[in-house]
Amino acid sequence: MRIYHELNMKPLHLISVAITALLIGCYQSEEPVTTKTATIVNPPIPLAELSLVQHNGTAFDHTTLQGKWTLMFFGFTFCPDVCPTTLQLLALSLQKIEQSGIENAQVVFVSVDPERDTPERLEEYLAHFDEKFIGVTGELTDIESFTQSIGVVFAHNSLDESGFYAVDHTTVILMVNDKAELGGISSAPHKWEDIADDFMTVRAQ
Amino acid sequence: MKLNNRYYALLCGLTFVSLSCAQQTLEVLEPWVRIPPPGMNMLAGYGEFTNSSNSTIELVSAQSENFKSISFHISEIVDGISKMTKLESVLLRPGETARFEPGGKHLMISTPQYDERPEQVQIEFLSVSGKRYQVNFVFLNSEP
Repeated sequence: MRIYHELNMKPLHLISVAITALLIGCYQSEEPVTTKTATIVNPPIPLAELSLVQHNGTAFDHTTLQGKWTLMFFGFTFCPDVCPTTLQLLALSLQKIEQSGIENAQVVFVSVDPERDTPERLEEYLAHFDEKFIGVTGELTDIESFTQSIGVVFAHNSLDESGFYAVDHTTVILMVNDKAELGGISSAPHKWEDIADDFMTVRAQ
Repeated sequence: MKLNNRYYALLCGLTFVSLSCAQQTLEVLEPWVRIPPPGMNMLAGYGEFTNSSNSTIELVSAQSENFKSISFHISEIVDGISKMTKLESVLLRPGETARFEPGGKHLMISTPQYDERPEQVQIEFLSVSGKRYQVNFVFLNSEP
C-alpha cells in the first residue's frame, strides 16, 4: 500500500508548475537565459508559509530562507541510494558556488520521513556530507502542507519483511531566492557542475 | 602509496577474479559500498557485473557476515519521482553486463554487523543453479 501525501496526488503537478513558469518566462524575458538543465521560474513564485524545525531545534520558516540563496532537496535518511548520492552532489555544488565568491548560499534537506528523521538524526546524517547543510523536519501534516504547495510529492511504502519502508519522493532540487521565492527547478539526473552553474545563473537573474 | 578510489576498487575487483572459483564465470569490476553516515544502517553497493561464461547466470540472493541482509534493488525516476523496487533476481546472459550504479540497480545492504568498519567486505552471491560467487567490496565515499 502506498499512501500518497498530496491531496489530489498529481505526480505531474511540479512539471505543470515548471512548464507554466517556462511559458511565463518566455513572454516576459526579452533574451532567454540559458541554463544547463534547470528550469528558471520567472517571475519567481513565493513559497507558502511554512512552520518546520531545523536539525538544531530552531524554527525553519521564511526567515531562514530570506537573505540566503537556497538549494532545497527532499528525501529521507534511510534512503540508501538516491538521497546520499544527491547530497554528495550538492556538497560539491555548494563548494563550487562558494569558491565563485558567493557567500550566502545554503543547502536545505527537507525530510519526507519525519517519524524516523528526528532533528538529532538529521544533524548526524547531514554532517557526513557537509556540516553546513541544514536538515529540516517537523510534523507530517506541516511537511505535507509545504510539499503540496510546491508540487513535491512523496509516498510511504509498506513495511518489508525486515521492517524497513522506503519513501518514494520527488527528486527535483529547488532553487529558492533570497526572498523565499522559487526561482529555479533542477530535475534529475543531476550533475553537480550543472547544479552549481544553473544556481548561479538563476541567482544572476 | 595512496591509491585513488578507482584503482582501489579495480584492484579489489581483480582480487576477486583471482580468488574466485577456478571456473571464472562472473566478473565484478569496481565493486564498492558507499561509506554510510554515522548511525546509518542502510547502505548501497555497486559494481559492474559481467557474465563471462557460456551459460546464463541468475543471481537470486546475496549475503555477508558483515551485514544482516542484502537484497537487489533498483531506483527509478518515474514522472520525477524516485521509486525503489526490490528485484527478485538479476539475470545475466552469456557476455551480458549489469551495471549497479547510484540511481539505478544497487545492492541494498542493511544493518552492519561489525564494530569498526573494515576497509572492505566480502559479499557472497548465490545463483539459481546453486553456484556461489565471492566478491570483495571496498568502502568508498563516492563512485570510483
